[in-house]
Amino acid sequence: KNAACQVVRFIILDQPHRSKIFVGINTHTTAAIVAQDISINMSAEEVANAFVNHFYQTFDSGVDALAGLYNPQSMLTFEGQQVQGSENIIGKLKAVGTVKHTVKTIDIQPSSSQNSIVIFVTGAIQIGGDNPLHFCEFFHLCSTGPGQYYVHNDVFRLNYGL
Amino acid sequence: MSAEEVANAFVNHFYQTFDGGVDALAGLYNPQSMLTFEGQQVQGSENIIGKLKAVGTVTHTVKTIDIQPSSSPNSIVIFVTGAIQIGGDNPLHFCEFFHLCSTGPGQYYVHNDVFRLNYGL
Repeated sequence: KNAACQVVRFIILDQPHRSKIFVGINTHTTAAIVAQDISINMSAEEVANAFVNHFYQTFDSGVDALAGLYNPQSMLTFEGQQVQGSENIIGKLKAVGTVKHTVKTIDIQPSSSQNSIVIFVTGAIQIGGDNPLHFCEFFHLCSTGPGQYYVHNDVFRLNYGL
Repeated sequence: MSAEEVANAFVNHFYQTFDGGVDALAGLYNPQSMLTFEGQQVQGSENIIGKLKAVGTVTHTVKTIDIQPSSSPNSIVIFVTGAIQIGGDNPLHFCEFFHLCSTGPGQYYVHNDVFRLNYGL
């Protein structure tokens, strides 16, 4: 409704035999991505894999579009610096600058609470034009309704120097 | 204890115990606990200890510990990075995630445990 209106929901399906991407509508853009046939009967693995692909592709091309994945309770710890809430999180991610992520591994487990998923990613990250560094990132994806998730916990660390 | 104190105490205890005698970690896991170790997933205390034992002799050196409150009350998210020496090999980077859940005052178990080495770019 206002200039800061963001993506409010995401359901990502990147399997050819099912649906395409449904992302909420960012009022700043006129190009809305239209939902096709949305299936909400996705396994935790499918949700997690779709989330990871969406997250890093979006991060690498335009961090603002990640805002809808976080809410006021969401917490990010980025290289030891902790922030809470969507706005602060996007601010911290933007401050990283131009990045390119290459995902190497994705591990998925059911969390202790119902319909919550634990996602553990490792890979390489190129910040600016620098050489790639190892990174590992953890996401705690929590469900607020059928097919609707937000990131409650997000922890990012580089792995360098031995 | 604050969540941070619990988490730091847990991490120190975990790796010291792992490096000294893995069996003693059994009490940290229950039948719902899940471990994914380098992509291989097992559930339950016995299977988890079995998988950790199969790693062999290890020395962990913790570099960073990040702590956050989880979505459920009295649950803690712990994210560790560091170096691990397996057998006599050169140290490798590792990262490990623990989801510590409370079953009562001062009592915790590990519900989720994910371990990955970081090597090769």
